Amino acid sequence: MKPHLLFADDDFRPEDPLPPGTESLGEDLGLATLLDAMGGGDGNLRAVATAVTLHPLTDPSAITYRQAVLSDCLDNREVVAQIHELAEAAIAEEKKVWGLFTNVPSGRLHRAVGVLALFTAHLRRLRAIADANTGRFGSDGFRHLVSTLKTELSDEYLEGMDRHLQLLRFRSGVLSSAGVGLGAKAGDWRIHLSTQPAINWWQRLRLWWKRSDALRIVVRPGDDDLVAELRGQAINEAAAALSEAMEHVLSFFSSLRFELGFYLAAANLHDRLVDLGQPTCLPTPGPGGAAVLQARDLYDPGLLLRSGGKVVGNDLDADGKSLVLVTGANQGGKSTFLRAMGVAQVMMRAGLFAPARSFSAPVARGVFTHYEREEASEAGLGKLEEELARMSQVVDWLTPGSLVLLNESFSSTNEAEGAAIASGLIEALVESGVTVACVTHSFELADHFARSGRDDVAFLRAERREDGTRTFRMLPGAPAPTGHGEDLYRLIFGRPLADDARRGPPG
Amino acid sequence: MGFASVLFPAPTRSTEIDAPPVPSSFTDLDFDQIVKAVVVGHDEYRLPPYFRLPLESVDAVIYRQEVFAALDGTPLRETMVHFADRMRSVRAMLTLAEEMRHRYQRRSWLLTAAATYVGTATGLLSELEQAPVTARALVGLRERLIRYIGSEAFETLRQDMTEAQDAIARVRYTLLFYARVIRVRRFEGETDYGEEIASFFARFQQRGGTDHHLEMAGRPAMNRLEQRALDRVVALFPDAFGALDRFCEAHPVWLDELVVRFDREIQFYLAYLGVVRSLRAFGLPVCYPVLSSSKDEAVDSTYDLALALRRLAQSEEAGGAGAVVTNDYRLSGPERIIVVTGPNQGGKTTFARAFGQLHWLAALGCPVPGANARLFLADKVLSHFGWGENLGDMRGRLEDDLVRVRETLAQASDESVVILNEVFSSTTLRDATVLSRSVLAELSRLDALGVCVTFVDELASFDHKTVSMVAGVDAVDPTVRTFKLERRPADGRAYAVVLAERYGLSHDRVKERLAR
Repeated sequence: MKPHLLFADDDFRPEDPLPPGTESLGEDLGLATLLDAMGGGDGNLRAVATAVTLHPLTDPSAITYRQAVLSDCLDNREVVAQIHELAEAAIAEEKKVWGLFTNVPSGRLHRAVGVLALFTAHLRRLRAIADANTGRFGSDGFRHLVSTLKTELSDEYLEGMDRHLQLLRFRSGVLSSAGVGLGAKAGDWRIHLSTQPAINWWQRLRLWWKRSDALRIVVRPGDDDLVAELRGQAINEAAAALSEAMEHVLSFFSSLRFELGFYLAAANLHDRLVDLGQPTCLPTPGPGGAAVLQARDLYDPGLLLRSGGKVVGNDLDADGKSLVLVTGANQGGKSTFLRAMGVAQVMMRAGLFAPARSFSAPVARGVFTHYEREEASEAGLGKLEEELARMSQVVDWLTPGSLVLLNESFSSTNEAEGAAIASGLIEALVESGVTVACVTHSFELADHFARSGRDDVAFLRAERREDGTRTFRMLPGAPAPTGHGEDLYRLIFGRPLADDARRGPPG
Repeated sequence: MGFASVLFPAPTRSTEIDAPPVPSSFTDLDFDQIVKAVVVGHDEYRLPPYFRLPLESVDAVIYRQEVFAALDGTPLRETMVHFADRMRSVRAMLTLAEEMRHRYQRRSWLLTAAATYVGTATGLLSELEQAPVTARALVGLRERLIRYIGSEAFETLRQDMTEAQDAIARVRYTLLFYARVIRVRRFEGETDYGEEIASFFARFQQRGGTDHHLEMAGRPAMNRLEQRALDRVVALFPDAFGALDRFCEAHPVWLDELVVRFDREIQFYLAYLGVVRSLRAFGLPVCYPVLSSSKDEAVDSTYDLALALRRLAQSEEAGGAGAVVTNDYRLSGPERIIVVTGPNQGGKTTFARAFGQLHWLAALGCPVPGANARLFLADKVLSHFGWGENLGDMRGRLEDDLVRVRETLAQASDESVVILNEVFSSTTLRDATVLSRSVLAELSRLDALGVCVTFVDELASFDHKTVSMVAGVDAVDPTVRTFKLERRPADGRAYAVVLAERYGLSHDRVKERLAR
């Protein structure tokens, strides 16, 4: 009895290791802003959103399964929220049930009986919600959930639950069996239903007679603690079984809360983006390899949320391309565009909508980033070495069908050397079936590919008007030989570069 | 004379090792730290003395290497670990039995201990018979175990034990707690209600889950109520407890002396292999040295074991071996002494330690740090570590240096390994040069093997027996130490591209890496 809202036939495992490089990915793509918006101020919800988003899907059909559930959730927000609240209430109430002496079996059993009695009420309400909303949902995920609740929580089953909870109060004594364990202590305990009814003295006497084969121990005064201890061993089996049952029901509520939570978090983000006037769409996940790669009005939702205002959407037409190479003016929106590409892929792989009017892309086997870092992190390593070490790490993780985002990689050495390293590397990646999106201000590098005659490269250029202003639009176009750093210099310093500066660094 | 020990081939000097003195080079070479790291978790076996007894013949070394190889990364190692665990349980059970007051508690523990022991001994033999054992020590052990386990005494022990065990295992009784009476009777097949509850609630199960059984068997001893209950059970099942009585009376003692000794000695191997395993997981090579009485030596990728173990303890995950630099060296023909010079903090002392550790470990029959090693079997590893460059009471220290160097040299023979580290560094260059030259002359005359770490460059070309090695610096940035010792300096190439190649990021390497 599982919600199965995240996977059709599988459980979501938050404890599974995250794909390698997730930490850099989150940092480089600014995913924290996105996850904050999904949480909407609720730490629990944010944690759920984080866990699901960072454990990506790679199967297109698994993605469309979630997309359908997400649509259902957006259309039936109240019902979904109602079930989520109910699960949350059940979990909260369990915490409020105090157990005295839960370090001994009798205390533990007592608490489990109490908690399960509470849960029974929640289960009845859950069943009622399912009954009231039959036929409302269109997705396989929600339809499965509703029908599961109806069949698994039948009236008969719920009554059976009441009956067991009654029996487990042991009104008619405890009957257990044991074998001879280590050191002749009683071991391998089993609990049995006592045949001894709660009865009057006459019947009791009769039973004693009947059981003449039994040897009796009459408890001596002062031995009550010892009896309690032994009786504890005798009911330990029952206490364990019932505590486990309690945990199972609790875990069911937790799964329900978790899985619904993800979609409610998605709805939160959806609302924020729509409120800020930007489009969203369900992306079309394609099979791996170079195939359809198209976007309309693709934007970086993180930037939108942070700036709270208008952002520029960009189009991408890169069907069959393995390398998207973005060049052009500094401060022209290249990095933002790269981030938007990465975020759209991350969101698609989570089963979320995409930050665009439309988005179609192959589902990447893995998404990795290699961004220029401000500081050399490893002590003793130079900046270039630090970059190389990180890149080598990424290559270790890469598999064909992955997507790699390179942002000004190897810019810590001189341009000729940087381009030599990067071009060989990028060619090797593309030839190995990896899709590369690369932002660079290095004309050497861009020109290398422009003159290579390859037909699997899409060139984009950050637009810069004649007067030097930037539109933050990426237009198709081959690289142009001059960077626009001097524009910025002029803007900030109010004067052009000195003549000497243009000759480049000495040596 | 038959098989007696897996550590020393027979016939041998006394296998009873008491407490050999701690050699003075132990601390200099950080060998004390190595031993500490090796024996951690093996305290009860008193292993440290074994690490102070170098072997005197190549044959004795090979005797141990055979055992190491037989256990290294093979299922046989698991067998031995398992054997040790079970022997430990046997000892614990015997101790417990002595503490028990109730007759049947005591006897029940004795029975379990005996059963565990019998299973342990026979299990060991059957594993040894199935494994392709060629190590002389293990063959000897196996033959000895075949005789022992085939003996009539052992067979009787096993039969009586099985009989008692079976009888006790058949006992099952019910307890009914009601009011202030507990009724005890034979079990009559009542159905398991715990199982019923579990299956009723199973539909809610998600994944995983914890075991909710409270640990009840806290004390092994019974309280008076449990004892009264046990008395009732004994009365209900007289035959079963009669069988237990018969077993205990017929077999008061059953531990075999040789099995007990083997249990201790095999820990020498297991403890060291534990370290070998972590080193390999850390990406560091470990190999079996080829030992001989020739002073031609060839070692690849060796490193300071103590340093590696410290790094290993610090690193949270495996694969961080980059922090440990490995070195190669060769000594051939007349070459005897490696003179190490180079920048401070460049890995010179580390190399000197590694050199000493290698010879000491090899003489213990242990695998050594490195990818390949051909070594001379030394009779002693001697060392003298100077005061470093701390200029304080120069006179006192120089005097102390000289006294200790003299003592060290006095102990050395032509079969010794001598490590001199930063000797005379607390004096002037002129003094140090003169003094060092005379010490080197002494060593050269002795024909001992050794390493001399010094700041006196001139010593590097002392005579035909000295070999010069230099702690390396980066070709491009001379402030960066490589910790590599080289017989000659490296030449420079286009830096960035060389670097990319080094990180496996050239076009061809990346394609290779992705084609895996």
